[in-house]
Amino acid sequence: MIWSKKDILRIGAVAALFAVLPLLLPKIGSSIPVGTEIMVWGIFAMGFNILLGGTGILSFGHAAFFGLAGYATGLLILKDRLPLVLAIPAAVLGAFLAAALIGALIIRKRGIYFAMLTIAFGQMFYFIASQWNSLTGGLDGLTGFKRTVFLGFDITPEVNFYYFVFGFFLLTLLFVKALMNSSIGKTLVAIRENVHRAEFLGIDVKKYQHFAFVVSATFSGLAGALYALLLNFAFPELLHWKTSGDAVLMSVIGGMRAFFGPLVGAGIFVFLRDIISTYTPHWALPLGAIFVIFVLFFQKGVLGIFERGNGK
Amino acid sequence: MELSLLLSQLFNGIATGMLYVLMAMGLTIIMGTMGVVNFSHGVLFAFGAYFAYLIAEKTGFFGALLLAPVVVGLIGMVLERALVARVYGKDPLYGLLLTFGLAMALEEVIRIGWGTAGLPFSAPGFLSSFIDLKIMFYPAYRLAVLGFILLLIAALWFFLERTTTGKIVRAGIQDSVMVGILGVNTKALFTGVFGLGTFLAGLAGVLSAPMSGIMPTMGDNVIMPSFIVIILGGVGSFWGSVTGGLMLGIIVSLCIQFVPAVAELSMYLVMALVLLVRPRGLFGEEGLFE
Amino acid sequence: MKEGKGTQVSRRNFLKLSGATAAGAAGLLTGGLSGLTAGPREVFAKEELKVGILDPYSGPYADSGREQTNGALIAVDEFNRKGGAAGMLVTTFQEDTATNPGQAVQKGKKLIDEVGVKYIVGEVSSAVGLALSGLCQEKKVIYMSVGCHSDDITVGDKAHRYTFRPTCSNTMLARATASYIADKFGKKWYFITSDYSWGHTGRDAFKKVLAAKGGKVVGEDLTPLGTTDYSSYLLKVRNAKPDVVIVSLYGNDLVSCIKQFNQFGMRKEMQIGGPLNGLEMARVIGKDNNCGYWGMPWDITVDTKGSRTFTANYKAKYGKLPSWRAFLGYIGMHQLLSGIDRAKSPDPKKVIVALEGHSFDGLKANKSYWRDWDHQCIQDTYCGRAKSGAEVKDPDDLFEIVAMKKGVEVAHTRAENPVKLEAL
Repeated sequence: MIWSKKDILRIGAVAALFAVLPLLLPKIGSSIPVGTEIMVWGIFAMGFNILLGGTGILSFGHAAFFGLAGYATGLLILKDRLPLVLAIPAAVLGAFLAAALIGALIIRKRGIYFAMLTIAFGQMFYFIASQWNSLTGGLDGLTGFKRTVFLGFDITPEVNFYYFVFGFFLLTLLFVKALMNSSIGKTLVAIRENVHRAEFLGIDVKKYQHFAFVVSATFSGLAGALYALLLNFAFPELLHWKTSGDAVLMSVIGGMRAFFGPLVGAGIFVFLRDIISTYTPHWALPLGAIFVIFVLFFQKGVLGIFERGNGK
Repeated sequence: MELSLLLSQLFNGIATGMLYVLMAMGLTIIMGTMGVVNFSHGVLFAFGAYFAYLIAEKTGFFGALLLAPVVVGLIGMVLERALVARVYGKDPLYGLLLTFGLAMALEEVIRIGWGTAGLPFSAPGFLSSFIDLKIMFYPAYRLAVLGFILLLIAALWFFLERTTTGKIVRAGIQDSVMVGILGVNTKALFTGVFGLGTFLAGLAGVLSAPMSGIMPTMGDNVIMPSFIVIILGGVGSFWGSVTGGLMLGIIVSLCIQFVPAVAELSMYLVMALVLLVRPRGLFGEEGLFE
Repeated sequence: MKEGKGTQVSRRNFLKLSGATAAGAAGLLTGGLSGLTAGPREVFAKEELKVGILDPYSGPYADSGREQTNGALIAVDEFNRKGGAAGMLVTTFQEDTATNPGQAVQKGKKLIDEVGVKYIVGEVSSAVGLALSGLCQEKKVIYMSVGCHSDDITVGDKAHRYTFRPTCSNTMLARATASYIADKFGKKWYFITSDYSWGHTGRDAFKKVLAAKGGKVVGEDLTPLGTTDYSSYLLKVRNAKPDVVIVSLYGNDLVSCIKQFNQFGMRKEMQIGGPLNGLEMARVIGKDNNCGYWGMPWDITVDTKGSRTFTANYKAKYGKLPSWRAFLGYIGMHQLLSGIDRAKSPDPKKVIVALEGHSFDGLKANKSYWRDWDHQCIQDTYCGRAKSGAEVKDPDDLFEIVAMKKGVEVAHTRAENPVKLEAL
């Protein structure tokens, strides 16, 4: 079995929660699109954490794949060039290929140098998106496309789109869990815990790290495609390194060593920003402070608080 | 194209690059010694400018130039003791994440304290004239900043190479564990180094305020170029920072002159190219940050 | 933040929270009268007119956003004092867009879907404005694009039937300024332009006027948004020896550029100007560095009865003089509410019909009116001179209007604007 009984139960519980969320959100001062956004960022952060939590590698460049797929989706469905059912896979494939290429160039670099290179490549994408006015609409962003039907299912209404994203969300949870349970996942963790031992055991460390980089970027792409459809809009900030920073924030707040950690982080992040920003423009202060507190005192994130005494 | 314009651009590139040298010096000694990638360096740069604004109202520009960086340095030492020190010895990831969150919160503190709009700030009157450099007229203030930073680099070099404390700092950059074993009080050393690093950030903030203005996002605008400078030069390398800063200034200036479309992109391109060819930057040494 | 209170959804919380909003405060005044017959809660429940205000309160344009909202609230006060619009008291729901199109669209959806507003007023950035314009067209909600100047809001295929622009288009501002500058300071121009559609439209409008007058472009540069150091660009400008440098920059970019223009002593060598400048920026530039000739949608020195009253009311409420951002917020909200009044109905479709072609007192010398085919507000457009040094008498005395053009003289003609608004 690729999932244990416990996995199925846990994922089932989370799925049940998200299945009824659209009924709850309006009652607590929020809205359905905020729920959709939580799932989209959840996909982004869960995928991102394959790299960060799984292998201990920090990337500040995943927003590039997020934004790339967002723009690609918009451009592909603009003027009905392609139906959604083809546009989304094509956009995700684009993110996959970009990550495979960039990953091959930079995966041999280590630590801070690797992180800086991800920023460098990410920012190149950002500048292309913000300056290629004729294709991307420049800083004004790409408008004029609209999500309509997906295989006969009308995803225009917010509720329908919510459940549409819910499907991808569930698949993401199942896939990431299966991956981490597999021998590949176990090898990734072994590399994270002790690179030298892994190398000594004859594991091709760079190959595995490259794999994790590409898989996580592919999920960034999926999230980006869905986000562009949520807003019917793509804009350069999607590719900015600070958007990658948001994914880091989510993973850490939720707990990057816990499976559901990034999802919890995404929920907290989106929900807090939505609620706090209604009452004060200074929402970055509490968010930054919470983040600092987590880095210092709760390095296993929100979920870590509940799993006391679990060793490292 | 006229030679004088080319020379003007080169000179201006060097002058603007100097400010990045100052930022990078602070970043690089903190990174080199404690292994902390200090993302809050940009916001401390902004604090320098804002404190200068406050102090200058009472004492004029030179009082601010003297005092504001000291205040920022002290804040840096408090931050180091209270927060940053807790992540020493852990994965460098945590230091980076901690200062990333810190930067986010502190930038908001600026907005709450001083408002969201920028503040007016000018160079002292006698420096608002121009000097004839034969190739062009150049603002006296920018020349003064250039000269001041050159002196500062010399002083810093003297401190690191010729004084006992400086030698300890330099040894710390090489290998802080070894320094601890040799009986140096590393706790005080680390606080001091963090203070010195943030002092330099604050100083850069004060110096840049009359040129580019004071605004809450000013730290955000310099943090990435500063990182690029130390990556170009190699983490922990004194002359690497100088070279990196000058390279950045000159490259951006020349790009604006000849291929303005890639001016913003150029610094990232150069960093990527340098790193792909030389994995530790131009002067980087093995072992730091890997 | 006392003005920061915003969206509340449940009606139970409404009274508690509304006390903090200006709308609520004014509502309670008038509510007191009707309170004789029914509890205020019931009055609100029956007759509240919900209007969403979306402005940036954080991010680079936070100050402009706050001013626009303040101005809009003056109009809300005015209506609520006389019993509201179409007999309904106005309640505002404010949200922060943070100058981020993603956040703006999400906040817009929240206001529309959960709060149930049928009108949205606000925004500074044209990029965010365009995103909101698309959203509002899709949701059939009226959008008053208060302070977005990029031509695209009302020109070409991004213009929408549900979107109205109370301010001047960038082309109007540029044309009002360009001919004055060309006639007075010479026809060799260098262009420094912020590299996005707002900047491009400003530059193009200036160029067109220059070409018509037989002038010459001696050089140009596009600068990325957020540039802080213009020294290398300015060296190029100086080398090209233009009569005038036209800078289509806004916000911090404009502040940095003008400061450095002064530092390099170029003020003695050439003139500077551009499509937009205003109090928020001039205050930061500082009176010693303030200079040039700029397009302006309004200024405190516009000497009409309406402007004087608005300025006095604004000063009384907020303790400072209004910038033209505040003016735009006021006009946008005022026009929306008076449209609802004339339509005698909250139905957006009827309000659109009431607004289209309507002519009104826009606090300027000539009447302003809404063009029905592109929803551009046609109005007097000004060229202002930035004052500096000893001529600045008080901190807000920073501009002097030197030229004025009637709206029709500077706006896109039908032939120039291929717009085709959607059917209702």
